[in-house]
Amino acid sequence: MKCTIQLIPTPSTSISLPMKAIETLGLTGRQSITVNIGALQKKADLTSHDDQERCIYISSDLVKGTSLPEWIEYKMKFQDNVLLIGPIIGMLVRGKFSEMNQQRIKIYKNYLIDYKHVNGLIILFTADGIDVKNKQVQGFAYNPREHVWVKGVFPFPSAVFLRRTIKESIRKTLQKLIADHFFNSHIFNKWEMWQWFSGNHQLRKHLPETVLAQNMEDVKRLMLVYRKIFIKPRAGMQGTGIYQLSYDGQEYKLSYRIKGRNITTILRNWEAVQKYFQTELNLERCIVQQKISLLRNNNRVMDIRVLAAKNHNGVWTVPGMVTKFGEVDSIVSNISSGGSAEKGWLSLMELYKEDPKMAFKKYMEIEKIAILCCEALEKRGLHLGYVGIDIGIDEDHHLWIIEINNRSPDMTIALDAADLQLYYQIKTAPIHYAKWLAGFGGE
Amino acid sequence: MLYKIYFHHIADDTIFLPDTTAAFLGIEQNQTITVSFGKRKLPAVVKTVPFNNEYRIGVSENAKKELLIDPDVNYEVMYANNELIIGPVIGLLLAKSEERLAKYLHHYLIYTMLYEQINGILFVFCEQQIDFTEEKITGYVYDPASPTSWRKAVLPFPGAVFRRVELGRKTLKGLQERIGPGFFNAQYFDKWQFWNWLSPFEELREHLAETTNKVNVNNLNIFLEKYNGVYLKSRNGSRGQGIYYIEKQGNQYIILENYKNDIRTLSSEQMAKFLRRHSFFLLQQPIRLHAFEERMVDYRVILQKDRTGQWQCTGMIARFGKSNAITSNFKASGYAMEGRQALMTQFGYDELTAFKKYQEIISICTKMACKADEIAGAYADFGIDVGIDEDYKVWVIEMNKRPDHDFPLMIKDRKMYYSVKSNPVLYAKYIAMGGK
Repeated sequence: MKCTIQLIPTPSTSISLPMKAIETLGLTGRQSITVNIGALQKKADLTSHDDQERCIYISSDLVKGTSLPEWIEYKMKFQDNVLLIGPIIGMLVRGKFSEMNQQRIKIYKNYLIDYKHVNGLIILFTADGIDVKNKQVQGFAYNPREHVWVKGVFPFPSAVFLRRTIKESIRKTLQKLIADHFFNSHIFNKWEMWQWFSGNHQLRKHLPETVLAQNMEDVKRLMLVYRKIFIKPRAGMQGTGIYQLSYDGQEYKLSYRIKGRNITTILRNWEAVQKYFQTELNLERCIVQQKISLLRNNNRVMDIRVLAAKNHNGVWTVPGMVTKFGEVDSIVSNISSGGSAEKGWLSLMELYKEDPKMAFKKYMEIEKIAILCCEALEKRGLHLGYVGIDIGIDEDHHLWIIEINNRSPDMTIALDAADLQLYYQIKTAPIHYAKWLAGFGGE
Repeated sequence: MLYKIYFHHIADDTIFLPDTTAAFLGIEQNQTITVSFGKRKLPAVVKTVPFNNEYRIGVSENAKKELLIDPDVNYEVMYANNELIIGPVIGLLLAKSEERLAKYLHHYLIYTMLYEQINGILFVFCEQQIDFTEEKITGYVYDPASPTSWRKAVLPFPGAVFRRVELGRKTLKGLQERIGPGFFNAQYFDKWQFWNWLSPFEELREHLAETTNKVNVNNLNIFLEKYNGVYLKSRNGSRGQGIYYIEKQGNQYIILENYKNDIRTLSSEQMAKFLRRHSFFLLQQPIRLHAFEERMVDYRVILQKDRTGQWQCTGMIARFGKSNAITSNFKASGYAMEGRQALMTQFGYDELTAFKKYQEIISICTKMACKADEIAGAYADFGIDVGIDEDYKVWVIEMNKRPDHDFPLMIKDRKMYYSVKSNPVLYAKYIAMGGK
């Protein structure tokens, strides 16, 4: 049920609802009620009124002197004996409160283009704006009528979408305030991914075998089995710092890219490889992986970025996929290193020209693997709202999980594929999911 | 994990599980659990056997007979509240007679496209193959190993049934009783029920054309006064059949029939007589659709539940109808376009405005579908006709319970077409494996 809020300075802790709302919510005859607004929860006297049909009056001490903008439409729900008013959703961004100005924060409005189907209070804040003791936050609230951010002190939100990486101390603070209702909170590296996923029988067959670079014996074994391996930074993204080592029975060939140029070094034997690795590479920071012979399109490596997001019902979905093509002859398929992109479905149609059914089956298989990854990450205790998963297709059309981008997966990749609709969909997803987390899902 | 079934010559109701599986599910040796296969249930004692790298579940002879387990496909398992579901067991009600069913089997393969994600029993059947006394159904099981991909088999009542055909009243009731909410798109409703069920809800009412089933001159005049025109519609007509449009000029009524060019002028008495002949019809507020180049445009929203168990929009297709029809409801003429593309074309919207309007349409349709679920039971596949009027307001004109699945083919979108066919089956799996 929709409502607007007016704060009134009465001494008693109270809330007054329209008569009609009292009936609809099944609160007839109650004298008092527990009210939940964001992270605040408090018992209040309940009264009714016949004024403007949709307005509720809340005594300001119920929200401890914070403000609840009157120009916002809230929803009310009565469940588990608590009157829930909201949603109140937060976005935690980088920097300090004092540094937030209209110019710097206007880009965050892009997440709110579907505000019409969210409603409620959206607060943009920085870590130093959090007041744990009073469960409130200093920040900016979104005013949908004027399409601007408005400064103020508000109740702490019930769900927070992180737009920055957080330190352990902030994590603890958030946990204290809203338990696990904050997301995209963890980052992990390629080695952790291997450790977590390789025990999962559904995912194992889609993972390139991975070892730590510092264990040269393991690296050697991998080289013997696969003949071609990748050396990658554990935490690297965007295809930087990747080396490829291959063995043709005679000598070893090491290829890599510097400033857009492909460089090859010939190493005569394993000892030379070992020596090179130990002197030129920071092995503690690297993993070594079986090389997958990814499909090429006109001599450009391709892989598929699967955009996965939790929806307004709190379940994982795949709004779309984008195919990335590397630069000609490059060993990686990253757009930032000179590649291009197109809609995933189009590439699959091209791959299976004669048979759109095969393209569809492959598309759904990719979707399924992506969702299995998300679920596996969640079982590890990572709370995520959206991720980008790179899936490769090898020459036998087998699927491989290449990389998972979870810190802040680039949404503009949809724009690289000229798919504005997908971009808008993925851009609006985190707030819809946050709404569900805040207890107002499925709408 | 997928399991094969083997049978064990033992008299008692016993189920044999690999010890690793039992440990994973939290089931103990000698524990008595309920084993479910479709709607059949049997208490059985668990015996664990050492895991030998084969994922197999053993079932005693009696349990096999009781549960009607088919050993020739691979199954998934789900364990909760002391119940072990072996499945899924999914039935698709697709044809009116056994003869037709057998004849069109190859057509039904489209529903099996994602079988690798479904597993278990996926079968097609018809009304006359249901045996209510023995609680079993003879149908055709999808079996890739069989030459025609289908194999005739005797099966229990399934965990989920997707209805896509007319049914006798008794069969409908019988299946509703036995399958419960797993029997979806079960209850059909006409245009009157549609209005009657959904219009009491303010949020929905504002997107519905006012309708009355009291067809008489008095009501006709009230509607004409309010809306300057009125539709006279049959309750069940589809594709724009059985629709009249009436206006008033002075003391005369002007009446047009959809797809016909003749305009008739009737006096009050003649009108009264005409309405008496159509007393089972409905009077409905006309929606002044926003036209494009003199063509009527309406939007078909494909709203389905999917593997998540929730409503989602599989796609939207706009039809730019034949210009001399009074509704755009016509498949044979006119052209079709993807929904967002059409919004941009029809209204000159940019991508962002089209996105927002698209979301608005989906949101309204989802509310309607959720309410229909609440009132009349389980649905998972709606084809919803939506109109946008001259003030850009969204109207829900009709919700089709046995929607035409071929709409995506009108815009040559194979992916959407296969999704439309697959989603009800993915949803059926969700339900059959214990989803709510």
